[in-house]
Amino acid sequence: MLTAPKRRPRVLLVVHGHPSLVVGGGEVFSHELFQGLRDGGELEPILLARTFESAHASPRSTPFRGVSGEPDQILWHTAGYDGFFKSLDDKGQYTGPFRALLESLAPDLVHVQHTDGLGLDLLRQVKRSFPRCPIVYTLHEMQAICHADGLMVRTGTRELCERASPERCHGCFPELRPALFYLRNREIKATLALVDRFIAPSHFLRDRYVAWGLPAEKVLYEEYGRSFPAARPAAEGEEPPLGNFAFFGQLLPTKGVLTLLEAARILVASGFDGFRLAVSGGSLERQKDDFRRAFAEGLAALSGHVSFLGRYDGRELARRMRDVAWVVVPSTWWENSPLVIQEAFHYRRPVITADVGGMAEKVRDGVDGLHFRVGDAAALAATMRRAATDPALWRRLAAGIGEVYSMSATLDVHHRLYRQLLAEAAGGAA
Amino acid sequence: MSAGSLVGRARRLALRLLGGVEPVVPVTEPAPPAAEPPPAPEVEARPPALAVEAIETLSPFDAPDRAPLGVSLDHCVVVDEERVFLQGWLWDAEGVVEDFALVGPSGLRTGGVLSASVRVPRPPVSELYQPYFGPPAYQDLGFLALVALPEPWLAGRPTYLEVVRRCREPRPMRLPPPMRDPRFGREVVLLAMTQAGHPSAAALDRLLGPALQGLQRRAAAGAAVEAEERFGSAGEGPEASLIVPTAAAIEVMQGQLLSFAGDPGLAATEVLYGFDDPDLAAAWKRRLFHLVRLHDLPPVRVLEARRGAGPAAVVNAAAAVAGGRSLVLLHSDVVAERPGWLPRLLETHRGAPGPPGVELGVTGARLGYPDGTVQHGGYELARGVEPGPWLSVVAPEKGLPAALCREPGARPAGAVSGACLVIDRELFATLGGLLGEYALGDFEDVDLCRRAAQAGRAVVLAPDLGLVHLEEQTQRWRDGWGRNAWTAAYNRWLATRRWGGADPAV
Repeated sequence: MLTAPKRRPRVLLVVHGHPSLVVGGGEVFSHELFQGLRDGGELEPILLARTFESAHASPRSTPFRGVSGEPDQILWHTAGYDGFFKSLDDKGQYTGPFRALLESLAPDLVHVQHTDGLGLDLLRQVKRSFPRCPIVYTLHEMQAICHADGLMVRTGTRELCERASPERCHGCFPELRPALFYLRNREIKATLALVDRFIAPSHFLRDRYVAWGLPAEKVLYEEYGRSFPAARPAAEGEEPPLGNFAFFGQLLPTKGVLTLLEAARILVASGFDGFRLAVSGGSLERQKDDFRRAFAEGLAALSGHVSFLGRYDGRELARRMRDVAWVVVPSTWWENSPLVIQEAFHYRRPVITADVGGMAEKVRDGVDGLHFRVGDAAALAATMRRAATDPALWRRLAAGIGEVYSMSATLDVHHRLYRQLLAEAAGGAA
Repeated sequence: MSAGSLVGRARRLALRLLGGVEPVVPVTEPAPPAAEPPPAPEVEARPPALAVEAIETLSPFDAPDRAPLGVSLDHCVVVDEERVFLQGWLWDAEGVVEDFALVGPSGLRTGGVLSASVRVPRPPVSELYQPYFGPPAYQDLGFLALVALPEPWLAGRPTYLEVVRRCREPRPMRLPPPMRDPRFGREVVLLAMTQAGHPSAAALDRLLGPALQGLQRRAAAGAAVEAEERFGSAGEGPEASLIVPTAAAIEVMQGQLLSFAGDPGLAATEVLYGFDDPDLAAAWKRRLFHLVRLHDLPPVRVLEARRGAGPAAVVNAAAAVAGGRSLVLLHSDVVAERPGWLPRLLETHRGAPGPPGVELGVTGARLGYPDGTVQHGGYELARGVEPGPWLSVVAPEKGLPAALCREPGARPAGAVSGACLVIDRELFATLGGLLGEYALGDFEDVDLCRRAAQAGRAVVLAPDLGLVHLEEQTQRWRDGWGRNAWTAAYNRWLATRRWGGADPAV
């Protein structure tokens, strides 16, 4: 009698964007994870990524399409995402095409990297179709907790917010009644209750979600694992010019680039001339006019000290890091686990960063970097001045930088977690 | 400025100020004869056909340069088979108008229309006339009147208004097209009442009270389930039917229904959504189609009654087709914080504490706000807590932290909120269901409780069941202070008429 060969456990990785279409940290990490799982051979991963572009000309056709040359990757075009309740307005997108896709693929485990644009109700459809199918959910920011883009920054005063509540959230969005925030909170929590394990890449984020109500035993801490090219910009012992600072990141208001420009202006105004700042980053074109104007004016006022190098990708990183002594991460929100910190550490560059959230966690003040008071340009200026004038400090901090957590290590953790959940699911079935 | 351009200017001004309402047949009022006027002919003697031909509107636009008299009728609302509500205005600089009469198809009359009316300011009309004639003797140029029809409407034979003038022939005026739909009628009456300033007992007794009561009664009368669609698997005969008259936003309705998902206490339950708006019903059915596929929900039935029937009539229609022995009336913005609330509510209901010999009647749920304070802890009817001579509903614990309130167990109450109450279907039918005469879904719960109590049944407040009332997501209050003030006053007026003297609980 013939028996079907036992297939490898199939893992459906769901992510909010595909790196061939959108370049973002979450997309890149998810794709690296997917490739690592595929290369590992133990599992059969399938990538399902959201796309903004409609798949086919006819709306009555399928919302899915492929990625050329990648038979295990699927793009899903969703429409009508309700960013408040974190779900698609038309639930038929879950109960119709997504259900059909799910039941065709019959995954043994679903790992959701991000649900932006896809909606949390996809988790519900997974459990409707396959009640025993374990769900893993990687937390990348605080969107479930905070309607203000998950930043937990008050919309009016721009103060950092410690805790969400219907009344406080209504304060940030006066046009939305507290009752709506109450419902939002309920519904999101009810759906997240379907998740078997959460992964938080920072203790800060884990603590925030546990304080919000996720069961602590379900939320694992697991740093982003990274795979970098082996080459480093400078040989051991070589020191870049001490006054060279760099900013890497998207040019969003919350990334604090204006705070950094203001710090540079303070340094110049104080007569301190011994520094240069290189700003690398994209997304400026998507920002509001007043931010773009302030950024342009800041650059213009600091010509000779500041250069704007524009967008970059990972392949350019080594070159852009070459002459940099310090990487500045001046975000004005909490951050989770900024990839730029890992990138700086990979190239042995100490980091100057704000003293809150994931930044303060990932950079140890006085060990591998320096902290300054979040949002305080004067404090940042003082820190930069100190950094630019103390070669011993730079050497000590550069020497304090540890190894960056690797993708292979995180793949091991993911494999172990998947095995455990698959065994639990199988045991439950027995 | 020529007379013609003056008239044109006045006409444009009037059209702008009066919202574009133009008289049906603008004609020029003939100048009064210099000699002694002829005796006024008997209207009854005039053949009805001639009366139709003679009907005309006294034009406000040509009047300034010809005669100091203008009359306009804005609305004629059919209150019921016997009464109409008239809204209009009168400019009578020389005081020649004695009164108005309503004249039926065969000449029967209802006199005293103007003298029984409520006079209200109409600033645009004053602005129109005063440049030509100076301030009139009285400021309130508008009138609102509830008038008994002298005889039934008759197709092709008009009922009309007669302007009775001193020493002149009466002038017939065509009525505006009668507004028969009670929903629109209610809007017109409430908007008209806002012209009368603050609610007064006289205006409510003479005008708004009876008019709105008649319209509400007509809107609610005879409403029945006209269409039904079921979602989810129908269980066996339900023990309880949850009846949700729908008015909230779809997100709120969904929030409520999802709070029921997976609750084993709702296994022997059906959820009945009652609609009086087919568009809302269609949107909710589209959403439900998928929700029942994504969540473990109790069986759902979507019931549709006539458009605009109102929440009370919708609940009554749903109750008539409900399968449960007990009915749970539920607003769509009441959310369950935890499962198991319904068995505990029914348990309280069945074992309702009360004086010996008092049968179970109505049991209401304590309700909270999301922030942990009390939204509902029982109602009492009382006088003197708000302006006006009418009863008010008092909610003693509302807004207090729950921990600071009275004993948390079940206790008798004067009345309980219709946001969540249970009553057996049979008793509900015996009592006649919710009274549809109140406006905007207010006071109906209190009225039901008082009727139950009057019938010797217990009215009880249940212990905390973990139900949250988001509140004001369901009420159909519109913007505008005046309108809301008159609506609230009307409900208090009606409650006072029904319970002000007889109810020992007051």
